[in-house]
Amino acid sequence: MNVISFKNVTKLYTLYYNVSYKELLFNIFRKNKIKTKNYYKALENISFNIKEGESVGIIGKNGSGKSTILGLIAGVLKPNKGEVLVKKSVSPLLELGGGFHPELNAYENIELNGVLLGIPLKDIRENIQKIVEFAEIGEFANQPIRTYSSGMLARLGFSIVTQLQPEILLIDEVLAVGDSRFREKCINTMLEFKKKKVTIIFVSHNMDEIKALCDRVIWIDEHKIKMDGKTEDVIKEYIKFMN
Amino acid sequence: MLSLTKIKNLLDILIILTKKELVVKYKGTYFGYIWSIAHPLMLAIVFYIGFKIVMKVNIPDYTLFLLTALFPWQSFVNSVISGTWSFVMNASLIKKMNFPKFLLPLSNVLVDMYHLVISLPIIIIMLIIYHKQPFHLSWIIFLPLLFLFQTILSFSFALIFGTLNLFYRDIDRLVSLLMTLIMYISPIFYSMEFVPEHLKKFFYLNPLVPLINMWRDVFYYGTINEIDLVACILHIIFWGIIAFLIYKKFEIYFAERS
Repeated sequence: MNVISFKNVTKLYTLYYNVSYKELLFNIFRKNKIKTKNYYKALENISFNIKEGESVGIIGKNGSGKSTILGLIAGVLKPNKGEVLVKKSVSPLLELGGGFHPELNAYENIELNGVLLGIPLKDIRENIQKIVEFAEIGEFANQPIRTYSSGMLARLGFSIVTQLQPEILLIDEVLAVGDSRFREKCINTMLEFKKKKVTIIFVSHNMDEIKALCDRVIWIDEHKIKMDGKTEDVIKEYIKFMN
Repeated sequence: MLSLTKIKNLLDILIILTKKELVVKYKGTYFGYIWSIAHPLMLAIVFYIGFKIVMKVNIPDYTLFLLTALFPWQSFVNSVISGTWSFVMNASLIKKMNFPKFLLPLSNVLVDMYHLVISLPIIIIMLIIYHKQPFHLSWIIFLPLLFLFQTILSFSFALIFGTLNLFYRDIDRLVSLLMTLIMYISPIFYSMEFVPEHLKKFFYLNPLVPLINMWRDVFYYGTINEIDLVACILHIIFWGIIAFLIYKKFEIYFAERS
Protein backbone atom coordinates (compact mmCIF):
# COMPACT_ATOMS: atom_id res chain seq x y z
CA MET A 1 0.00 0.00 0.00
CA ASN A 2 1.31 3.44 -0.87
CA VAL A 3 1.24 5.73 2.15
CA ILE A 4 2.83 8.70 0.37
CA SER A 5 2.42 9.53 -3.26
CA PHE A 6 3.62 12.53 -5.25
CA LYS A 7 2.04 13.01 -8.67
CA ASN A 8 3.75 15.56 -10.94
CA VAL A 9 4.36 17.89 -8.04
CA THR A 10 5.69 21.37 -8.71
CA LYS A 11 6.41 23.78 -5.88
CA LEU A 12 7.09 27.46 -6.52
CA TYR A 13 8.18 30.02 -3.98
CA THR A 14 7.23 33.59 -4.60
CA LEU A 15 10.16 35.98 -4.48
CA TYR A 16 9.33 39.48 -3.39
CA TYR A 17 11.01 42.73 -3.97
CA ASN A 18 9.80 46.08 -2.84
CA VAL A 19 8.17 48.42 -5.27
CA SER A 20 8.73 52.06 -4.44
CA TYR A 21 5.86 54.48 -4.15
CA LYS A 22 7.15 56.37 -7.17
CA GLU A 23 6.97 53.28 -9.34
CA LEU A 24 3.49 52.56 -8.05
CA LEU A 25 2.29 56.11 -8.76
CA PHE A 26 3.64 56.13 -12.27
CA ASN A 27 2.32 52.70 -13.06
CA ILE A 28 -1.05 52.81 -11.43
CA PHE A 29 -2.92 53.71 -14.61
CA ARG A 30 -1.03 51.43 -16.90
CA LYS A 31 -2.86 48.42 -18.16
CA ASN A 32 -0.12 45.87 -17.65
CA LYS A 33 0.71 46.15 -14.00
CA ILE A 34 4.35 46.25 -13.03
CA LYS A 35 5.83 42.92 -12.27
CA THR A 36 6.11 42.56 -8.52
CA LYS A 37 6.41 38.82 -8.39
CA ASN A 38 9.03 36.37 -9.40
CA TYR A 39 9.08 32.68 -8.86
CA TYR A 40 11.70 30.31 -7.64
CA LYS A 41 11.09 26.73 -8.69
CA ALA A 42 11.95 24.52 -5.72
CA LEU A 43 10.57 21.30 -7.17
CA GLU A 44 9.72 20.57 -10.77
CA ASN A 45 7.33 17.84 -11.82
CA ILE A 46 8.28 15.27 -9.20
CA SER A 47 6.56 11.91 -8.94
CA PHE A 48 7.24 9.00 -6.58
CA ASN A 49 5.43 6.58 -4.31
CA ILE A 50 6.45 5.35 -0.89
CA LYS A 51 5.00 2.13 0.46
CA GLU A 52 4.05 1.42 4.04
CA GLY A 53 7.06 0.39 6.10
CA GLU A 54 9.65 1.60 3.59
CA SER A 55 12.72 3.49 4.80
CA VAL A 56 13.65 6.06 2.20
CA GLY A 57 16.67 8.31 2.24
CA ILE A 58 16.63 11.63 0.42
CA ILE A 59 19.98 13.01 -0.67
CA GLY A 60 21.18 15.89 -2.78
CA LYS A 61 23.24 19.02 -2.43
CA ASN A 62 22.08 22.08 -0.51
CA GLY A 63 19.17 23.93 -2.05
CA SER A 64 18.11 21.04 -4.26
CA GLY A 65 14.62 20.80 -2.74
CA LYS A 66 14.93 18.09 -0.09
CA SER A 67 13.36 20.08 2.74
CA THR A 68 10.55 21.22 0.45
CA ILE A 69 9.65 17.56 -0.12
CA LEU A 70 9.46 16.97 3.62
CA GLY A 71 7.42 20.17 4.10
CA LEU A 72 4.95 18.93 1.48
CA ILE A 73 4.66 15.51 3.16
CA ALA A 74 4.17 17.18 6.56
CA GLY A 75 1.39 19.29 5.05
CA VAL A 76 2.84 22.67 6.01
CA LEU A 77 3.45 23.47 2.33
CA LYS A 78 0.95 23.04 -0.47
CA PRO A 79 2.01 22.14 -4.03
CA ASN A 80 1.36 24.65 -6.83
CA LYS A 81 0.80 21.89 -9.35
CA GLY A 82 0.24 18.19 -8.99
CA GLU A 83 -0.95 16.21 -6.03
CA VAL A 84 0.49 15.07 -2.72
CA LEU A 85 -1.32 12.22 -0.99
CA VAL A 86 -0.42 11.17 2.55
CA LYS A 87 -2.50 8.41 4.08
CA LYS A 88 -1.24 8.21 7.67
CA SER A 89 -0.41 10.66 10.43
CA VAL A 90 2.98 12.30 10.06
CA SER A 91 5.48 13.04 12.81
CA PRO A 92 7.87 15.62 11.42
CA LEU A 93 11.22 16.61 12.86
CA LEU A 94 12.10 19.26 10.34
CA GLU A 95 14.19 21.91 11.97
CA LEU A 96 16.15 22.44 15.13
CA GLY A 97 13.72 23.87 17.68
CA GLY A 98 10.88 23.90 15.15
CA GLY A 99 7.52 23.48 16.85
CA PHE A 100 9.00 24.64 20.14
CA HIS A 101 8.63 27.87 22.03
CA PRO A 102 11.93 29.26 23.36
CA GLU A 103 10.46 30.55 26.64
CA LEU A 104 8.84 27.27 27.67
CA ASN A 105 10.63 24.46 29.46
CA ALA A 106 10.99 20.88 28.21
CA TYR A 107 7.76 19.62 29.79
CA GLU A 108 5.67 22.50 28.43
CA ASN A 109 7.24 22.13 25.00
CA ILE A 110 6.58 18.40 24.92
CA GLU A 111 2.90 19.07 25.61
CA LEU A 112 2.77 21.82 22.97
CA ASN A 113 4.61 19.80 20.36
CA GLY A 114 2.62 16.68 21.14
CA VAL A 115 -0.85 18.21 20.78
CA LEU A 116 0.24 19.92 17.56
CA LEU A 117 1.23 16.46 16.27
CA GLY A 118 -2.35 15.42 16.97
CA ILE A 119 -1.66 13.25 20.01
CA PRO A 120 -4.19 13.23 22.87
CA LEU A 121 -3.00 15.22 25.88
CA LYS A 122 -3.58 12.21 28.14
CA ASP A 123 -1.15 10.05 26.14
CA ILE A 124 1.46 12.80 26.16
CA ARG A 125 1.29 13.17 29.93
CA GLU A 126 1.65 9.42 30.37
CA ASN A 127 4.81 9.40 28.26
CA ILE A 128 6.31 12.73 29.32
CA GLN A 129 8.79 11.28 31.82
CA LYS A 130 9.96 8.70 29.32
CA ILE A 131 10.55 11.43 26.72
CA VAL A 132 12.60 13.59 29.06
CA GLU A 133 14.69 10.59 30.11
CA PHE A 134 15.30 9.50 26.52
CA ALA A 135 16.44 13.03 25.62
CA GLU A 136 19.00 12.95 28.45
CA ILE A 137 18.62 16.63 29.25
CA GLY A 138 18.75 16.03 33.01
CA GLU A 139 18.33 19.05 35.25
CA PHE A 140 17.75 21.32 32.25
CA ALA A 141 14.25 19.89 31.81
CA ASN A 142 12.82 22.69 33.96
CA GLN A 143 14.70 25.47 32.17
CA PRO A 144 13.36 27.42 29.17
CA ILE A 145 14.65 25.74 26.04
CA ARG A 146 16.31 28.93 24.77
CA THR A 147 19.09 27.99 27.21
CA TYR A 148 19.63 24.61 25.51
CA SER A 149 22.55 23.73 23.28
CA SER A 150 21.73 22.68 19.72
CA GLY A 151 22.52 19.07 20.63
CA MET A 152 20.01 19.17 23.48
CA LEU A 153 17.35 20.64 21.21
CA ALA A 154 17.90 17.89 18.65
CA ARG A 155 17.69 15.25 21.39
CA LEU A 156 14.45 16.68 22.76
CA GLY A 157 12.88 16.93 19.30
CA PHE A 158 13.88 13.41 18.39
CA SER A 159 12.61 12.04 21.71
CA ILE A 160 9.17 13.58 21.21
CA VAL A 161 8.59 12.29 17.69
CA THR A 162 9.87 8.83 18.50
CA GLN A 163 8.37 8.22 21.95
CA LEU A 164 4.86 8.98 20.73
CA GLN A 165 4.43 6.05 18.32
CA PRO A 166 4.59 7.71 14.91
CA GLU A 167 3.11 6.22 11.72
CA ILE A 168 5.28 8.18 9.31
CA LEU A 169 8.53 9.64 10.59
CA LEU A 170 10.22 12.57 8.82
CA ILE A 171 13.75 13.42 9.93
CA ASP A 172 15.50 16.38 8.31
CA GLU A 173 19.25 16.63 8.94
CA VAL A 174 18.66 17.78 12.52
CA LEU A 175 20.52 14.82 14.00
CA ALA A 176 23.75 16.12 12.52
CA VAL A 177 24.29 18.32 15.59
CA GLY A 178 24.07 15.44 18.08
CA ASP A 179 27.19 13.70 19.35
CA SER A 180 28.14 10.32 17.95
CA ARG A 181 26.70 8.42 20.91
CA PHE A 182 23.29 10.03 20.58
CA ARG A 183 23.28 9.57 16.82
CA GLU A 184 23.90 5.91 17.30
CA LYS A 185 20.99 5.81 19.74
CA CYS A 186 18.81 7.55 17.14
CA ILE A 187 19.78 5.14 14.38
CA ASN A 188 19.04 2.19 16.70
CA THR A 189 15.64 3.67 17.56
CA MET A 190 14.86 4.15 13.88
CA LEU A 191 15.95 0.58 13.10
CA GLU A 192 13.48 -0.61 15.73
CA PHE A 193 10.76 1.44 14.05
CA LYS A 194 11.73 -0.08 10.75
CA LYS A 195 11.10 -3.54 12.21
CA LYS A 196 7.69 -2.32 13.37
CA LYS A 197 6.89 -1.26 9.78
CA VAL A 198 6.94 2.48 10.47
CA THR A 199 7.49 4.47 7.28
CA ILE A 200 10.65 6.57 7.59
CA ILE A 201 11.81 9.42 5.37
CA PHE A 202 15.34 10.43 6.27
CA VAL A 203 17.25 13.39 4.91
CA SER A 204 20.97 13.30 5.64
CA HIS A 205 24.37 14.12 4.21
CA ASN A 206 25.89 11.25 6.13
CA MET A 207 26.04 8.33 3.69
CA ASP A 208 26.93 5.81 6.40
CA GLU A 209 23.72 6.60 8.28
CA ILE A 210 21.70 6.39 5.07
CA LYS A 211 23.29 3.02 4.30
CA ALA A 212 22.56 1.74 7.80
CA LEU A 213 18.91 2.73 7.70
CA CYS A 214 17.50 3.00 4.19
CA ASP A 215 16.59 0.39 1.60
CA ARG A 216 15.90 2.97 -1.03
CA VAL A 217 17.30 6.40 -1.82
CA ILE A 218 15.88 9.26 -3.84
CA TRP A 219 18.51 11.64 -5.16
CA ILE A 220 17.28 15.14 -5.86
CA ASP A 221 19.35 17.37 -8.09
CA GLU A 222 18.43 20.75 -9.59
CA HIS A 223 14.85 20.39 -8.25
CA LYS A 224 14.23 17.13 -10.08
CA ILE A 225 14.66 13.46 -9.28
CA LYS A 226 18.05 12.48 -10.62
CA MET A 227 17.90 8.89 -9.47
CA ASP A 228 15.58 6.69 -7.44
CA GLY A 229 16.58 3.15 -6.53
CA LYS A 230 18.47 0.82 -4.24
CA THR A 231 20.60 2.54 -1.61
CA GLU A 232 23.98 1.16 -2.77
CA ASP A 233 23.44 2.00 -6.44
CA VAL A 234 22.26 5.55 -5.83
CA ILE A 235 24.97 6.36 -3.28
CA LYS A 236 27.67 5.03 -5.62
CA GLU A 237 26.49 7.30 -8.43
CA TYR A 238 26.02 10.23 -6.03
CA ILE A 239 29.58 10.00 -4.68
CA LYS A 240 30.92 9.74 -8.22
CA PHE A 241 28.89 12.81 -9.20
CA MET A 242 29.94 14.88 -6.20
CA ASN A 243 33.61 14.26 -6.84
CA MET B 1 -14.47 14.99 8.41
CA LEU B 2 -14.59 16.31 11.95
CA SER B 3 -14.43 13.26 14.16
CA LEU B 4 -14.68 13.37 17.92
CA THR B 5 -10.95 12.70 18.38
CA LYS B 6 -10.22 15.57 16.00
CA ILE B 7 -12.37 17.97 18.01
CA LYS B 8 -10.75 16.74 21.22
CA ASN B 9 -7.34 17.44 19.67
CA LEU B 10 -8.38 20.98 18.65
CA LEU B 11 -9.48 21.62 22.24
CA ASP B 12 -6.19 20.20 23.56
CA ILE B 13 -4.23 22.49 21.24
CA LEU B 14 -6.31 25.49 22.29
CA ILE B 15 -5.80 24.75 26.00
CA ILE B 16 -2.05 24.25 25.63
CA LEU B 17 -1.64 27.36 23.44
CA THR B 18 -3.62 29.49 25.89
CA LYS B 19 -1.55 28.20 28.80
CA LYS B 20 1.59 28.91 26.77
CA GLU B 21 0.47 32.49 26.06
CA LEU B 22 -0.15 33.07 29.77
CA VAL B 23 3.25 31.66 30.72
CA VAL B 24 5.10 33.62 28.04
CA LYS B 25 3.22 36.86 28.70
CA TYR B 26 4.27 37.11 32.32
CA LYS B 27 7.69 35.49 32.08
CA GLY B 28 10.17 37.62 33.98
CA THR B 29 7.60 40.06 35.38
CA TYR B 30 7.25 40.43 39.12
CA PHE B 31 3.61 41.56 39.32
CA GLY B 32 2.31 39.26 36.59
CA TYR B 33 -1.48 39.36 36.27
CA ILE B 34 -1.73 42.54 38.29
CA TRP B 35 -0.57 44.48 35.25
CA SER B 36 -3.64 43.54 33.27
CA ILE B 37 -5.85 44.98 36.01
CA ALA B 38 -3.61 47.93 36.82
CA HIS B 39 -3.72 49.23 33.26
CA PRO B 40 -7.48 50.03 33.11
CA LEU B 41 -7.37 51.28 36.70
CA MET B 42 -4.63 53.77 35.84
CA LEU B 43 -6.57 54.90 32.78
CA ALA B 44 -9.62 55.40 34.97
CA ILE B 45 -7.62 57.67 37.29
CA VAL B 46 -6.27 59.69 34.38
CA PHE B 47 -9.70 60.08 32.78
CA TYR B 48 -11.17 61.02 36.14
CA ILE B 49 -8.65 63.82 36.47
CA GLY B 50 -9.07 64.96 32.88
CA PHE B 51 -12.80 64.77 32.43
CA LYS B 52 -14.33 64.97 35.90
CA ILE B 53 -11.99 67.34 37.70
CA VAL B 54 -10.77 69.52 34.83
CA MET B 55 -13.57 69.37 32.23
CA LYS B 56 -16.30 68.89 34.86
CA VAL B 57 -18.30 66.31 32.91
CA ASN B 58 -21.70 65.90 34.50
CA ILE B 59 -21.86 62.12 34.93
CA PRO B 60 -22.54 60.68 38.42
CA ASP B 61 -20.36 57.91 39.89
CA TYR B 62 -17.77 58.64 37.23
CA THR B 63 -15.14 56.08 38.36
CA LEU B 64 -17.69 53.27 38.19
CA PHE B 65 -18.94 54.64 34.88
CA LEU B 66 -15.41 54.56 33.44
CA LEU B 67 -14.46 51.12 34.73
CA THR B 68 -17.57 49.35 33.43
CA ALA B 69 -16.40 50.32 29.93
CA LEU B 70 -12.64 50.35 30.40
CA PHE B 71 -12.28 46.69 31.35
CA PRO B 72 -14.10 45.32 28.26
CA TRP B 73 -12.44 47.93 26.05
CA GLN B 74 -8.97 47.05 27.35
CA SER B 75 -9.66 43.37 26.80
CA PHE B 76 -10.71 44.03 23.20
CA VAL B 77 -7.67 46.18 22.44
CA ASN B 78 -5.24 43.69 24.00
CA SER B 79 -6.80 40.80 22.07
CA VAL B 80 -6.57 42.62 18.77
CA ILE B 81 -3.00 43.81 19.31
CA SER B 82 -1.67 40.42 20.45
CA GLY B 83 -3.74 38.78 17.70
CA THR B 84 -2.05 41.00 15.13
CA TRP B 85 1.28 39.45 16.13
CA SER B 86 0.07 35.92 16.80
CA PHE B 87 1.06 34.44 13.44
CA VAL B 88 4.31 36.37 13.12
CA MET B 89 5.44 35.47 16.64
CA ASN B 90 4.64 31.77 16.20
CA ALA B 91 6.43 31.36 12.88
CA SER B 92 8.40 28.36 14.12
CA LEU B 93 5.18 26.49 14.90
CA ILE B 94 3.51 27.44 11.62
CA LYS B 95 6.48 26.43 9.50
CA LYS B 96 6.98 23.03 11.02
CA MET B 97 3.59 21.83 12.21
CA ASN B 98 0.40 21.15 10.34
CA PHE B 99 -2.48 22.34 12.53
CA PRO B 100 -5.37 24.82 12.21
CA LYS B 101 -3.60 28.16 12.46
CA PHE B 102 -6.67 30.13 13.59
CA LEU B 103 -6.16 28.56 17.03
CA LEU B 104 -3.19 30.90 17.57
CA PRO B 105 -5.12 34.22 17.64
CA LEU B 106 -8.02 32.47 19.37
CA SER B 107 -5.68 31.54 22.22
CA ASN B 108 -4.61 35.20 22.46
CA VAL B 109 -8.25 36.23 22.73
CA LEU B 110 -8.94 33.61 25.41
CA VAL B 111 -6.05 34.96 27.50
CA ASP B 112 -7.69 38.39 27.49
CA MET B 113 -11.12 36.92 28.19
CA TYR B 114 -9.59 35.26 31.22
CA HIS B 115 -8.29 38.65 32.34
CA LEU B 116 -11.73 40.13 31.84
CA VAL B 117 -13.24 37.42 34.05
CA ILE B 118 -10.77 38.05 36.86
CA SER B 119 -11.51 41.79 36.69
CA LEU B 120 -15.23 41.20 37.41
CA PRO B 121 -14.71 41.22 41.23
CA ILE B 122 -13.29 44.74 40.94
CA ILE B 123 -16.42 45.94 39.16
CA ILE B 124 -18.57 44.29 41.82
CA ILE B 125 -16.55 46.02 44.55
CA MET B 126 -17.04 49.35 42.75
CA LEU B 127 -20.80 48.69 42.51
CA ILE B 128 -20.89 48.15 46.28
CA ILE B 129 -18.82 51.28 46.95
CA TYR B 130 -21.24 53.37 44.87
CA HIS B 131 -24.29 51.81 46.59
CA LYS B 132 -25.47 50.06 43.45
CA GLN B 133 -27.02 46.64 43.31
CA PRO B 134 -23.92 44.35 43.18
CA PHE B 135 -25.71 41.43 41.55
CA HIS B 136 -28.56 40.97 39.09
CA LEU B 137 -30.20 37.63 38.46
CA SER B 138 -30.17 38.38 34.71
CA TRP B 139 -26.35 38.27 34.80
CA ILE B 140 -26.55 34.49 34.70
CA ILE B 141 -27.68 34.82 31.09
CA PHE B 142 -26.32 38.20 30.04
CA LEU B 143 -22.73 37.90 31.25
CA PRO B 144 -21.97 34.64 29.36
CA LEU B 145 -23.72 36.15 26.33
CA LEU B 146 -21.57 39.29 26.45
CA PHE B 147 -18.42 37.22 26.94
CA LEU B 148 -19.38 35.21 23.88
CA PHE B 149 -20.04 38.35 21.81
CA GLN B 150 -16.80 39.93 22.93
CA THR B 151 -14.84 36.74 22.17
CA ILE B 152 -16.22 36.44 18.65
CA LEU B 153 -15.74 40.13 17.86
CA SER B 154 -12.18 40.25 19.25
CA PHE B 155 -11.33 37.00 17.48
CA SER B 156 -12.62 38.30 14.13
CA PHE B 157 -10.40 41.37 14.28
CA ALA B 158 -7.43 39.41 15.67
CA LEU B 159 -7.77 37.02 12.73
CA ILE B 160 -8.11 39.78 10.11
CA PHE B 161 -5.14 41.81 11.34
CA GLY B 162 -3.04 38.76 12.25
CA THR B 163 -3.41 37.34 8.75
CA LEU B 164 -2.73 40.61 6.94
CA ASN B 165 0.23 41.38 9.20
CA LEU B 166 2.04 38.33 7.82
CA PHE B 167 1.93 39.87 4.38
CA TYR B 168 2.06 43.62 5.09
CA ARG B 169 3.86 44.67 8.25
CA ASP B 170 2.18 48.08 7.90
CA ILE B 171 -0.85 46.49 9.55
CA ASP B 172 0.85 46.65 12.93
CA ARG B 173 1.18 50.45 12.64
CA LEU B 174 -2.38 50.72 11.38
CA VAL B 175 -3.73 48.69 14.31
CA SER B 176 -2.06 50.79 17.00
CA LEU B 177 -3.43 53.91 15.32
CA LEU B 178 -6.92 52.43 14.99
CA MET B 179 -6.97 51.30 18.60
CA THR B 180 -6.20 54.83 19.79
CA LEU B 181 -8.82 56.35 17.50
CA ILE B 182 -11.51 53.83 18.41
CA MET B 183 -11.19 54.77 22.06
CA TYR B 184 -12.41 58.30 21.35
CA ILE B 185 -15.34 57.23 19.20
CA SER B 186 -16.53 54.66 21.74
CA PRO B 187 -18.72 55.53 24.74
CA ILE B 188 -16.00 55.05 27.34
CA PHE B 189 -15.67 58.42 29.06
CA TYR B 190 -19.01 59.68 27.76
CA SER B 191 -22.36 57.97 27.23
CA MET B 192 -24.38 57.81 24.01
CA GLU B 193 -26.69 60.55 25.36
CA PHE B 194 -23.89 63.05 24.77
CA VAL B 195 -23.69 62.14 21.08
CA PRO B 196 -25.76 64.45 18.82
CA GLU B 197 -28.90 62.65 17.63
CA HIS B 198 -28.12 62.92 13.89
CA LEU B 199 -24.64 61.40 14.40
CA LYS B 200 -25.71 58.44 16.51
CA LYS B 201 -26.27 56.11 13.55
CA PHE B 202 -22.73 56.75 12.34
CA PHE B 203 -21.36 55.94 15.78
CA TYR B 204 -23.04 52.58 15.53
CA LEU B 205 -20.73 51.71 12.62
CA ASN B 206 -18.08 51.26 15.31
CA PRO B 207 -18.42 47.62 16.47
CA LEU B 208 -17.46 48.56 20.02
CA VAL B 209 -20.36 51.01 20.51
CA PRO B 210 -23.17 48.45 20.97
CA LEU B 211 -20.88 46.11 22.88
CA ILE B 212 -19.74 48.68 25.43
CA ASN B 213 -23.30 50.01 25.83
CA MET B 214 -24.45 46.51 26.67
CA TRP B 215 -21.65 45.87 29.18
CA ARG B 216 -22.50 49.09 30.99
CA ASP B 217 -26.26 48.45 30.99
CA VAL B 218 -25.77 44.93 32.27
CA PHE B 219 -23.48 46.05 35.09
CA TYR B 220 -25.67 49.01 36.09
CA TYR B 221 -29.20 47.74 35.58
CA GLY B 222 -28.97 44.07 34.54
CA THR B 223 -30.70 44.88 31.25
CA ILE B 224 -29.83 44.98 27.55
CA ASN B 225 -31.11 47.49 25.02
CA GLU B 226 -32.62 45.76 21.93
CA ILE B 227 -31.00 48.18 19.49
CA ASP B 228 -27.56 47.42 20.94
CA LEU B 229 -28.25 43.70 20.82
CA VAL B 230 -29.27 43.75 17.17
CA ALA B 231 -26.42 46.09 16.19
CA CYS B 232 -23.88 43.89 17.97
CA ILE B 233 -25.14 40.71 16.30
CA LEU B 234 -25.01 42.41 12.88
CA HIS B 235 -21.43 43.51 13.56
CA ILE B 236 -20.49 39.97 14.64
CA ILE B 237 -21.96 38.45 11.48
CA PHE B 238 -20.37 41.04 9.20
CA TRP B 239 -16.85 40.99 10.70
CA GLY B 240 -17.01 37.24 11.23
CA ILE B 241 -17.60 36.68 7.52
CA ILE B 242 -14.85 39.14 6.53
CA ALA B 243 -12.41 37.43 8.90
CA PHE B 244 -13.31 33.98 7.59
CA LEU B 245 -12.86 35.02 3.95
CA ILE B 246 -9.49 36.72 4.52
CA TYR B 247 -8.18 33.81 6.59
CA LYS B 248 -9.33 31.20 4.06
CA LYS B 249 -7.75 33.10 1.19
CA PHE B 250 -4.32 33.42 2.79
CA GLU B 251 -4.11 30.33 5.00
CA ILE B 252 -2.22 28.14 2.51
CA TYR B 253 0.60 30.69 2.20
CA PHE B 254 1.19 30.98 5.97
CA ALA B 255 4.16 28.59 6.13
CA GLU B 256 5.93 30.37 3.25
CA ARG B 257 5.43 33.89 4.57
CA SER B 258 6.09 33.46 8.28
